[in-house]
Amino acid sequence: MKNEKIIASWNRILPDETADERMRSRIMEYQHSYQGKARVITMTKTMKKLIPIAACFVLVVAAAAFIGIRNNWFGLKKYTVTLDNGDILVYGKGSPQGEASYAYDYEVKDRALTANELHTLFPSIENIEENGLPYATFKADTGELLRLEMIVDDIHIHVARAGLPATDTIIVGEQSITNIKGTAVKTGYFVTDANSKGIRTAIFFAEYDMNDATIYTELAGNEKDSKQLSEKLSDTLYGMIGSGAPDISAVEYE
Amino acid sequence: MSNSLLRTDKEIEEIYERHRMTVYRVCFAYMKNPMDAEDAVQETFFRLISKNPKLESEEHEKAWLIRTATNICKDGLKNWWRRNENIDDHLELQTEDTMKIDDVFQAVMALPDKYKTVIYLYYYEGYDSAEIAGILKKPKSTVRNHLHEARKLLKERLGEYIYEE
Repeated sequence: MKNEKIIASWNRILPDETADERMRSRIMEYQHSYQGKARVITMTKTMKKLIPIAACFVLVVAAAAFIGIRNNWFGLKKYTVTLDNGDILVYGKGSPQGEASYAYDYEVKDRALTANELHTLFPSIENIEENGLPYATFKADTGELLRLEMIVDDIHIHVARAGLPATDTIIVGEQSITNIKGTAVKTGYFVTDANSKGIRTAIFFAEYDMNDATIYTELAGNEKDSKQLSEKLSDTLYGMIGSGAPDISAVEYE
Repeated sequence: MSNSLLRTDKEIEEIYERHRMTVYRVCFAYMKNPMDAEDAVQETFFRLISKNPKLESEEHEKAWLIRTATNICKDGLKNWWRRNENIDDHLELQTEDTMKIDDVFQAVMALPDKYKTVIYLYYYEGYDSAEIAGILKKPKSTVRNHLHEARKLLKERLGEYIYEE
């Protein structure tokens, strides 16, 4: 030490207890607030570094999603068709998971329907007899119509008395229900495995109940033509529903 | 101590405890009143928290705090009104506190600012001129010159009161 008097003089310079405590508490208060701020700054810096990576990742995912959806990589594509009255039919993807039984616990009889009977059942479908006259199944003892299947302009139409299966295919998956002119219509589609030529078949279907009948319609074609397939089926469906319920009681086995 | 990790509350409290008197005295020598000295002390520790310098030892810690406190005080003194302040203006405030400002300390405070820290470090902390140069990051010759000038001024004001062993 060079000078005791100077040291003694400096020693007198000190904060009182109140000031000391005040400084300490303000410093610690700042320390706490800065720790919070620094965490935010650290996160921001980290985030800044991650932003370009995240942006690239988002772009890649978005591009993949866009291309994938267009090409139905994920099998999630939905087809929507707006009908003339503004109703929208949505075809979600499903898959066939089993078969319904057509077995009856009573005696049945079959016969071909006449053109007149077909027109009675489906007045909205022109030239319905062009693909030939379909066979129908009737209950043997009463002669009432149970079910029939026909193809009109590549569209399979199945009609069954209420309570009987309209089709032998049970489809599981996303099925949309849309009200068309007050009738609930269940729609969907499924895609088969590729054939030897690598072509996959898309099968669009729609099913609805009207009065005493269940009507199932189905249109199949190359998966690439799915949009056209969905539109064609929807147009036919719209006409069928618009013409009212097929009067299956008007057709009997004679 | 790493620069990337913030100091903990405990570390800051310990540093404050170790160096609060040193920092306060340096600040008081410049600011000449307890309130401004208090503000300067706080600001010094705020910078320690925010800049979070890597300090290898307690001596390094002390040197950093002294240098930072000195700079903060010099910045504070740049205000025109403060440059015209007189120590006598604060005597009443000081006598209300526990501090007793004697002639020696008044003479130190009356020194030009550039000498104050050098005097403090030399006389009170016991550093030699080379160490002071290291702490203040100034050339040794400058420190020696400041010491010489400061001692000369103190001798003029205090007579033989100031001496060296």
